[in-house]
Amino acid sequence: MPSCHDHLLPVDLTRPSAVSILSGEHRVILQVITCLERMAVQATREGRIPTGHARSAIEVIRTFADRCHHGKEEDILFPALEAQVPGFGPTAVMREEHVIGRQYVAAMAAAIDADDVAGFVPAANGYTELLRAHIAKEDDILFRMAQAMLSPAQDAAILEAYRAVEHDDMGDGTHERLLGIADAIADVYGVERASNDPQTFALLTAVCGCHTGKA
Amino acid sequence: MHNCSIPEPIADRAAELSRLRLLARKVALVHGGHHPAMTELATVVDRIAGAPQNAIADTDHAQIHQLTAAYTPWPEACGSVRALFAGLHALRS
Repeated sequence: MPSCHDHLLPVDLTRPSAVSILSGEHRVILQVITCLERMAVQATREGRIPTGHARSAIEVIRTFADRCHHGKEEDILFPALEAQVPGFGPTAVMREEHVIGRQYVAAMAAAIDADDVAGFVPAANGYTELLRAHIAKEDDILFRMAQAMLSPAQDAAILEAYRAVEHDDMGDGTHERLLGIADAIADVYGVERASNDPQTFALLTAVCGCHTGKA
Repeated sequence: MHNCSIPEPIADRAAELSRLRLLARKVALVHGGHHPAMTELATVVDRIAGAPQNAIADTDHAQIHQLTAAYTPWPEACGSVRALFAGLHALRS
């Protein structure tokens, strides 16, 4: 069914940009929540939470998905859009969903600590459902709008700010460490690694570590 | 398919090999043109990371030793190269 956003071009994933970097990170987040969904199935079937795997997933979600990815959105991209359109509605909705997501993550972490299957399963399924819909809204609507709104100079400035997050806030090597954990969990739960896709891999490594190709 | 036989927590070694695999791919992507050995190194690390139980044969260690010039980054090497070589060196112990 056609939507009113169809006139906006899909996010260009062939080059690093303010939105393509975040879309690439979405692929990793989807990978992790698919693992989480399978952990919930396993917990229901076996009557116990796969505690170690679930803790690893929570670490990736809290650090990679929330602190790093949502941090870039809330502190860098969203303010840039809100500066152009005061009272910009879509970012307010996305911020609200980030808050709800954190509540689900807190519930999952508490359930893991208490080995509470009945608490873990609905929290994991609720988080998975929320994030899938949230990511679809960002990729299909908000990021398309952002791509059309940002000038090349603004886009370049945002990319530079993302690099500062990776280097200064997160610390060199954190990104790769978390991606390594995400891939190790994916291997256990039979989930395709997002990094296997060359285009996604290029986006995931575009703002972390070296990128000059000179040395 | 879902494999429940792998012990929890995620084995540090599996996560570390996945990290090194990503680093090796990145280093190959960025530096492979000037340093062709990095492209070959990425292939070796990818094979090791996908091996059952992440087993590393002596011949793999020898090949990595050679491709990394005995785990010695070139003088102007970036942080990713240094992190990769240090991680591969640590696998020996």
